[in-house]
Amino acid sequence: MTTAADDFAVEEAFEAYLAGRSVPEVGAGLAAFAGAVRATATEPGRPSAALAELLATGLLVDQPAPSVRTAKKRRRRPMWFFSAIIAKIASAGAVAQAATGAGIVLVGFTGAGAAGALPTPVQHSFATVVDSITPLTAPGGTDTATGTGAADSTAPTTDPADPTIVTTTGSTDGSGAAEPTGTTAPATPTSDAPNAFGKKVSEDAKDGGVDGQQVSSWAHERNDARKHGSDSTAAVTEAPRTDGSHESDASATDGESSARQSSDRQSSDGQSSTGSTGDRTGGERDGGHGHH
Amino acid sequence: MRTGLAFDDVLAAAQAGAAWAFEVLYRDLSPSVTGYLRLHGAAEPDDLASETFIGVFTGLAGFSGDEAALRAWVFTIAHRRLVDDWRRRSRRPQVTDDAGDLTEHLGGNVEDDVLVRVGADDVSRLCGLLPDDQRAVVLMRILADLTVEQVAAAMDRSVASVKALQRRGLRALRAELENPAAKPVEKRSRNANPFAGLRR
Repeated sequence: MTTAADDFAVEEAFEAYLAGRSVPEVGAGLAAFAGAVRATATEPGRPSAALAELLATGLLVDQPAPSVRTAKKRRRRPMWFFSAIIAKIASAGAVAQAATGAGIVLVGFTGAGAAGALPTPVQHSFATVVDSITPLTAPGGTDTATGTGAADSTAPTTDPADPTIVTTTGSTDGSGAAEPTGTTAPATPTSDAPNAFGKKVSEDAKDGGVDGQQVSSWAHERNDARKHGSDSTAAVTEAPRTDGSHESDASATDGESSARQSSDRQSSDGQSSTGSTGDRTGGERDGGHGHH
Repeated sequence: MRTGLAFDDVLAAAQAGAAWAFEVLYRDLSPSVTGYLRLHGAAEPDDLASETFIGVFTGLAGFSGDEAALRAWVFTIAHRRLVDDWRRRSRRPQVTDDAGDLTEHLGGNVEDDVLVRVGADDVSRLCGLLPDDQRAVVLMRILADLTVEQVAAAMDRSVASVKALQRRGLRALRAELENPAAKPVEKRSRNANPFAGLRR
């Protein structure tokens, strides 16, 4: 009969055997049993086919790389889109393919024209057409279109009864560069008026018929003419070349006042008006060059 | 390790899926695992051991610990596979021949083979006399070198319960070894419910 003390001694002997220590006499039988158990477990078992394959080839461990996969998906999306489009076109009929091709060419031409990438003459024609049929402005045709439009639009908006406008428009067209010279005469006297005025007073003094009031009135007229002439000059210089309407308006206004001045003065001094004409014409030519 | 290789290197390679590391671990652990399953009377101990190691290798990436912890983990998986096998067999009773399983790997010197055969027969008979839970505790302590705590964790039992099972198992073995004919140990029935007393 075994007691608790015997059980304790057997457990101590068992632990001693497992720990590799010397085993007491009471546990000799168990130590032999444990040795026999270990002796029966010395050979590895026969692996199954699945395990043999695993032992031979190893295991491909999944390496999580979510960002790379996401990036690949992003890259694949456009390729899928284009391949689908090409497949659609390839499967369509001849007429549909021709229409698609024409559409692609038209879109490409329009895009190149909008970007200003067409050859110069083609781009010019493209810009002209775009400006005439759409409210848009295409590069390459801006100068011509703006100049033409300004010249065309300025004439009817300003006073059609005023003859100076007609001459201004004509100068823009280049048909009569000499015509505006007569209308824009007052602009020039401002530069030559002192000499002419002094010359005239000097001649009157030599003749002995100097009239102070007349000289004073001439001086006032000259000042007015100079004032209008300076305004006209300023308007011409400040007028942006891109907008011909201001130019025409200024010339019309100046022409309207200067026409009276010149009409009064032409009788006395035609030389000054001629000189002023050259300056004025030169100013308009600058604008005209910009348009053409 | 018994192979002489550094355990950390082998474990790292095995966790990376290296075949050579699997081979090292299998050669180191397979004999004790297969012997454990065989002495428990598993119908196909080699297949059960293969299932165990497939589970070990595929789940090794999530393991962390030293060599003793790996051994305890491997025997935990093996024990669960064994319990599953018991359940299958309880639904479909089968008759197995334990002696054939124990001696099929013998070979070489005839005299040594006879001694081993006798020893194996005695071991198989003695293990067969113990209840499953007592046998599991004793075999895990002997074959896997697990501590009482590790055995408790592998069997999902308390430490006190494992100590009690070990005490009763050793007492039965000692009685059988001292007087085998006078006091036969309660013989287990393979077709009886094998998980009586087991808690999962």
